[in-house]
Amino acid sequence: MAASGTLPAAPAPPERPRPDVLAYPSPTTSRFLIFLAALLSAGLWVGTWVHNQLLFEDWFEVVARCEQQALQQTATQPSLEGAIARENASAQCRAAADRRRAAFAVGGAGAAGAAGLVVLYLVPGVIERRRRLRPVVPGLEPASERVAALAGTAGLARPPALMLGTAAQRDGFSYGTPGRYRIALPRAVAVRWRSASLFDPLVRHELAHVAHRDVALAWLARSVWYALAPLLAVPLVVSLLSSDRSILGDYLWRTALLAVVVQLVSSALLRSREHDADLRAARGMGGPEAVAAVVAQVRQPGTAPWYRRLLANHPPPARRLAVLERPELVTEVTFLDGLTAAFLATLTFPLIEQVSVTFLMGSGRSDLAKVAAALLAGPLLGGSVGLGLWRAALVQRVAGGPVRPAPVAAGVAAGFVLGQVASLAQTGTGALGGVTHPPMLAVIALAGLGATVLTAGLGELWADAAPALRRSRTSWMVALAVGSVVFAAVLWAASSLELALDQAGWLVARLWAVTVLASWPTIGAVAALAVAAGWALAASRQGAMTPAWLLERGTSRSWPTSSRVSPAEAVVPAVAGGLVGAGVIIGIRVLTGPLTSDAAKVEHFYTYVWVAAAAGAAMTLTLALLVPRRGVGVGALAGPLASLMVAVGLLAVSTARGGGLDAAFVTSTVRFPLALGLILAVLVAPAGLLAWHQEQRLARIWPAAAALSLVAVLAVVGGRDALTRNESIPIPDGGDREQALALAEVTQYAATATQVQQRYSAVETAVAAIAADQTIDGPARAARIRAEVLVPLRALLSDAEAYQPPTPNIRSVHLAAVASLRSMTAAFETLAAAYETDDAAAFAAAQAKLDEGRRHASAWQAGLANLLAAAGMAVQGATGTTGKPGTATGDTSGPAPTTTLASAPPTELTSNARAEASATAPDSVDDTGNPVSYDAANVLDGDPSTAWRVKGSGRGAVVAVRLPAPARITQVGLIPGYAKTDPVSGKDRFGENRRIRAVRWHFSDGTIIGQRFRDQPTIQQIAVEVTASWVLVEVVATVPGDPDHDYTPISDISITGAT
Amino acid sequence: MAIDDVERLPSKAENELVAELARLALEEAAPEELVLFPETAEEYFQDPQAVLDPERRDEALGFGLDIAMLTPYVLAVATPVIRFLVSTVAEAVGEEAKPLVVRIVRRLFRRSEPPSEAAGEAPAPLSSDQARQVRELAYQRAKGLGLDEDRAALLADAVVGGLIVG
Repeated sequence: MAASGTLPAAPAPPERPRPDVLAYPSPTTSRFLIFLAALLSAGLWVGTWVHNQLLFEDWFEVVARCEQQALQQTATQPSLEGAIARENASAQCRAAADRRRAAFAVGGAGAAGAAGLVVLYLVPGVIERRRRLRPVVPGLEPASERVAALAGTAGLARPPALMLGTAAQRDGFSYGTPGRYRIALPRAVAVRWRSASLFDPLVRHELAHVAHRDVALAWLARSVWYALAPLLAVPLVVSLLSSDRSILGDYLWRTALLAVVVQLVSSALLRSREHDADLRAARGMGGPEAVAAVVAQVRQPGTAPWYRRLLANHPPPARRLAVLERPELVTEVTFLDGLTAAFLATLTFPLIEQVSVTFLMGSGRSDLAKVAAALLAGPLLGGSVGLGLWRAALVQRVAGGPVRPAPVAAGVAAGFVLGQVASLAQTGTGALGGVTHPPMLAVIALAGLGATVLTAGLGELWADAAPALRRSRTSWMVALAVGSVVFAAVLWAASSLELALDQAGWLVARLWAVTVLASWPTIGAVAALAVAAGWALAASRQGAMTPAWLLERGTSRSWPTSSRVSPAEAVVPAVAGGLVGAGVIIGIRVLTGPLTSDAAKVEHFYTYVWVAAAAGAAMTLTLALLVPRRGVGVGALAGPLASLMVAVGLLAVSTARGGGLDAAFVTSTVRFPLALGLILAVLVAPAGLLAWHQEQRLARIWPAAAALSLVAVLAVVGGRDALTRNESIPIPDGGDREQALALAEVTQYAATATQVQQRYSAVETAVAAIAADQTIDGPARAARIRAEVLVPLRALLSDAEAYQPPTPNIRSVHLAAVASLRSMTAAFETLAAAYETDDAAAFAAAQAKLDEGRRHASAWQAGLANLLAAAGMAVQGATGTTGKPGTATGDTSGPAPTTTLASAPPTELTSNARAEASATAPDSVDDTGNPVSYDAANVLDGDPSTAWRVKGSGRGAVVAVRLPAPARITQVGLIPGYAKTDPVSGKDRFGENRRIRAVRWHFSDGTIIGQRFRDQPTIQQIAVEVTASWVLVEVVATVPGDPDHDYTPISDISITGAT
Repeated sequence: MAIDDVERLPSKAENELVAELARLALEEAAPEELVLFPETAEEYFQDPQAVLDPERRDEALGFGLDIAMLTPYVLAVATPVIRFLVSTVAEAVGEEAKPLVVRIVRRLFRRSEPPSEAAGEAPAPLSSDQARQVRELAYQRAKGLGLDEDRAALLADAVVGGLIVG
């Protein structure tokens, strides 16, 4: 007690630490990048749209033709190979047309960028003129000097010039272009340059904008509609001026959605930049008090509805004061942040991919276009959502309070779906939700949710380890990298999966999951995330102090790490789960015994891949549910560890059974489950939200990890039929079930084609009636064409375009029908105009379009005939007639579903032909000991009990048949095996040897046609229309018979036609 | 100088007097604004309403403040005061002296240097009653412009402070 008798003063409470939220790049920076991406995306969008409006017919015709060619070249390749080869062949063929489309897209983006630059550089002059701004008058030089002094303390090498407006100006603002910034102050403030309570805070606020380089971009965001509105109006104007307005409605709603997102982003960044400037000004003044005093003078807005608040360009003063008091409030990552970033990333992805493809054309690696698009779109999300979540995790450790990833995760999920739905690529297709497989929308949404939660979980781990970092830059650069990697991987995988599904459905998609998915970028992503998680686990320590770079003010305190996870808590569960998975694999191997066929070996291998991946995903799920907040991040390390353990177990078993350990096998065994495990982990990561806010956690995780791993791998084993069944292996096994399915699909399409023909016949009837009417003049004839021909023809075209072909082969054939109907529609539109204007050139153009339509119709006929023949259906003949109205007779034209047969009776052309083969099996003996030869000539002797054969699967083996003279060939066929029953033993050689499932017929005129076969020892033929002097039969696929008779035979070849 | 109405001077003459009185008031109330007084006064006289009540611009990129100079308000308050003084002086002097009203009114302004006119033309200072009337006029005008009580009182006192009161 003091001598005076008074109590000693109570110790002052420790100053509440004030986190430096600007240690990370501010949210405004991310939003600016998203805004610029939005502007350029709008340009890509408009450019592509203009192309579609002006040149879609030409482009579509090229696409249809190239699809046909690609189908002919690759029709009978195994499923996944065929899908990839068909896509590559088609892409090569239409490269020029795609380049032109890409040029339009890039041009649109360039126009958007140029418009933005024009606005950016024009705005300062416009502002100065409209607001009558001028430099300070003599007598106010001290004000300029004070601004310069404050600029120096703010770190600006070049102070902005001080400008004054009229007496009516009552607010301050900054404007200008880089290097020529200005601050315009109200006169009432400028004359009070001595006032440290008014002048300094206001000027420091404006200087903060200049220092952050957000002035020019902010004015661009403020004025974006001067650039964007004209751009978005171009397709609208083009559409209104053209006769085709069928997709105008489609364009309008997508544009409206894009416009809303752009406005939301623009308003959000203008609001957040004010907080940034307030905080920077406060930091420069040693505390928020002075700035808060000025903010308190800001006029209060009235109460606005929630949607007006979203569109406000200024945060309300109460919010600004709250943020000045508690800066951590500005680190919240909102639903809107997730929605806008994800929407733009998804919308932009196919546009970037389309442009990238043109640059990669010819390199054979056009598949890298998706990688390029992912590398650009991923950082949009990584730099906004990812960075924001990591910042929030750090700041909340200082300020207290939880991070809430659920809203932003939901926003990302919604943004992914919206971006997919609004994709320009789906305009006018009628595809539900923008995808041909609507369940993909749910997968996309789940992936968005999971990627966000995974990023947030890793952010929590890195927040634990923050004291180990000396500078903030290390922390936020890792945050940016990790977020970008996660979202890029998810975007790439979703796009790649969608392609696989589109090409050939679930069968190819599940094969994709265990092969194509394991690309080196995906493995790189797995490794990067594992390293990030591992480092954070190792670097976090108990008893660490708040890093200095994270504190703006206040004393450093103990860094909260009571809930931190030790490396052992990641490794032990991973080992437990991995051992369970390895044990299951060993069990399967022991129970199934030796695998004799290649197909069985491959099926088992893929099952092991799924087992290892499931074990890894089970780790992520376990940790997500049992370790609040951090568990999902720990799973990024524990999951791959568990998968690796299972892979090691598989390698050990393989080695123990005498299998080799070559590099390719080891690499495949490791790569495939790691990549699949990452995607499965992302899909289960949303479970982390269920436990996010819990505080309790189990002391030991490994029992639950082992149990869940066991459940997961057993589920995989139990469901392996759906995941890895033999039919998924790319050797068409045929069999009755597959044949029946193919037959059903083709039958259905044949019925559709018949309907098309019937409806077109009605159009032809109308055309003939108009042509026969000689009493009407040109304008009247044009009116009848518009009413009686074009109306039903457009309806037919619309229905044909809306038709969803069930298989790629049918889709390729159907494209020709659509192309024909488009050409016919355009032809009759031109014809009607020609009759109205009596323009000879228009008549000629109409005739040219009619001819084009007939060519597409012929291609449709041929394609449909091949489909029917391949499915074993009879080919019927039919003709249709269409004439130019006004002519006495019509020409044969129009789409017809069947081909015509040759008028001359066909004869067998092989009687005097010669056959040669690329390889022949050695002679053998039959069961009585008689020698048997398998020369190529056996295929032409008409005796099914003799055959040519080659050792092994026969893939790639060729039999060439040289005709004595060029002939018009109308039919080809063969017996797809050895149609012999041994006369002594009665053994069926057909079943013993391999049977051919598919061949490719090559003709000397360049035609290539594929054919598939039923498993029957009979001659099976398909119709063709070629003129050739030789024919090659290339074996594409076979099915095995008795392992002791591993030969591929052909008993007879038939070539029918007329010389 | 012709005076059409004993209560009103021609605009130019009135504006000059208003500006002069306002300047004197500002010397007391807001001397820092004097450096921009000529420009502000010119804008005010061109369109008083535009300066006093400008169109509220929600400056998308501004700080959000709404800070006005005192000068336009002083000018607005000084205007009825000058009119009152002109009317009072015009009543006091004879018909033949009416052309000198401007000079006489100017002599009511408190200056640092004494006036140089002939003694016969120097009017009597304002009486206390008149000063009170002036203050009330200024105060009510300031309130009518939307100023709060404190600022209205400050302005009114500053205006009266610019006059010579007996």
